[in-house]
Formats: sequence, structure tokens, C-alpha cells
Amino acid sequence: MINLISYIAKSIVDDPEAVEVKSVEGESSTVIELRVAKNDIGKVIGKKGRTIAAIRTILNASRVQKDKRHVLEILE
Amino acid sequence: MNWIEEQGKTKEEAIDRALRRLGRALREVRVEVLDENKRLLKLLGARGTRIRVYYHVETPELAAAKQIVEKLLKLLHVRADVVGRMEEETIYLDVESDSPGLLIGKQGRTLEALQYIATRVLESTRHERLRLCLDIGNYQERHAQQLAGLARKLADEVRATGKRVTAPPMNPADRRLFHMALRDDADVTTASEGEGLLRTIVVSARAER
Repeated sequence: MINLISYIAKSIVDDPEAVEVKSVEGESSTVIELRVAKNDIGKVIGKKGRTIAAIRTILNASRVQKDKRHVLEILE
Repeated sequence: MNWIEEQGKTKEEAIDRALRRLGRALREVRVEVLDENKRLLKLLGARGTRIRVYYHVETPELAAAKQIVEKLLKLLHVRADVVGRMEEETIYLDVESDSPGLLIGKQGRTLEALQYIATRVLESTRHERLRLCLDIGNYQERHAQQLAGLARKLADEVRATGKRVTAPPMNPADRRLFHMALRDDADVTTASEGEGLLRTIVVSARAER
């Protein structure tokens, strides 16, 4: 999952070097933290949040996730 | 469209050779048989069947789009085969996979998300605006036909009763297909009403307007 998010993020930002993805395992969910350069936050979110919504949709469809929910968060 | 000619003892053998030469799959090309198994020719030692295989030239945009979608699916751990073509300014990709349901999602939402992300990635790698149309196991095609069917049904209802009919809520892409389906209907006309998520299409008799 980290690889997927990282590939998408690195492909759409201006500064791929600054992209960092970490997953934090919780009790019932896994939080995926996406860190990008300050100037790229808008790119990852997209117009009216469309890009981040699409990434979340794909994340939720992933078969790797079985019973655990995946939550995607963007950090500066 | 370009083409090559190939021959073989049987049609299958000829196709096989041609595909190997092109490095393409059968569903990416169109095969035309030029002359099949003429017994006399065979007796004379000539090879049985001549075919001509038509194929699309892969543009750099198409190659890039294919690569991106293949990469996304691989990262989703889905085994898939992606074929594509370019028509005018639009790139069409079709995915055959072991798990179409997973990739399509409820009401095609995952498919829509994949198409959107693939387009974003494609545009930022190629630095140009491109239109990418992604289909999985012919879902988009079937879906478009379903919408056209619904549109015709509602049009018949309007014809029969003369009253306006409201279609169920749809996203903009679906509304566009719905409008298109009835564009040439002589008796009814369509219009969108309402805002945002509540925007719906109303079908009404032309005479009413």
C-alpha cells in the first residue's frame, strides 16, 4: 500500500524527493501518513479534494486490506 | 492504421506469426484473410493462408498511459493485461484482469478513481493535457448502453403520457451520456435541473417547450 501511495504522490508533485509515506498500525485501522513539500499539498489534494478522494477510493478497494480499514492522512 | 502481411499453413498459424512479428495480442489487431487454403496451391507446395493484420501505431502518449495503468495495477497486486488505442485526442485503455469487480467498485467508483489518478499522473509526466478513457472488462461500454436503455424507456413514458419525467440522480459524465442518447429524438427533449448532487435530468415532450 505504501508503494502505491508513494508512486501516485511522487508522480503528481513537483518535488518527489520530499515525498514520504509511513504507515502506522492501529488496533482496528492502519493510518497511512503522506508527507509532501508544502507547495505540493494542493496538488495532492486536488480541485475540491478530487485527487485525494480518488486516492482514498483506490486505497479502499485494495485487496491487501482485509478487515483493517486504511486511513490516509496528509501531513506537511 | 498500419498493416503487415503474413502467411501460414493454416489461418491460425499465419495469425500466430503475424502477432509474434508485431509483439501484439490478438485483441489489439484486426485480421483480414486474403486467400484461404486453396487446395491447389497447397499441392503445389505453396503455403495455405495469406492474411493481412491491421494494427494501431503506439503513440508515445499511449505507451506512457499504458505503462502508468500497468504500474498502478501491479501496485494493487492485480494481474492484468492492458491494451489501448488512440482515437483523435483520446487515449482508450482496456483492462482484462483476474479481478474486474474489485477494480470497478460500487457503481464504477473505483474505476472512475483509477481513471482520474491515471490521467493526473499521465499529465504531470508528459506536461500536457490529455484525455484518458479507462475501461475494465467492458464496464463503461455496458454502462453506457444501460443508460441509453433507461433514456429510451423514459422517453417512451413521456410519449405515452405527455408528462415530464425526472431521471434518477447521475454524475456529470452519466448525464452527458443520457442527454446524448436522446439528442436526436424528435418527440422529447432533455434538460438538467437542480444543483450539485441533486442535479437531475428532466425529460419532457418537445411540444411543451
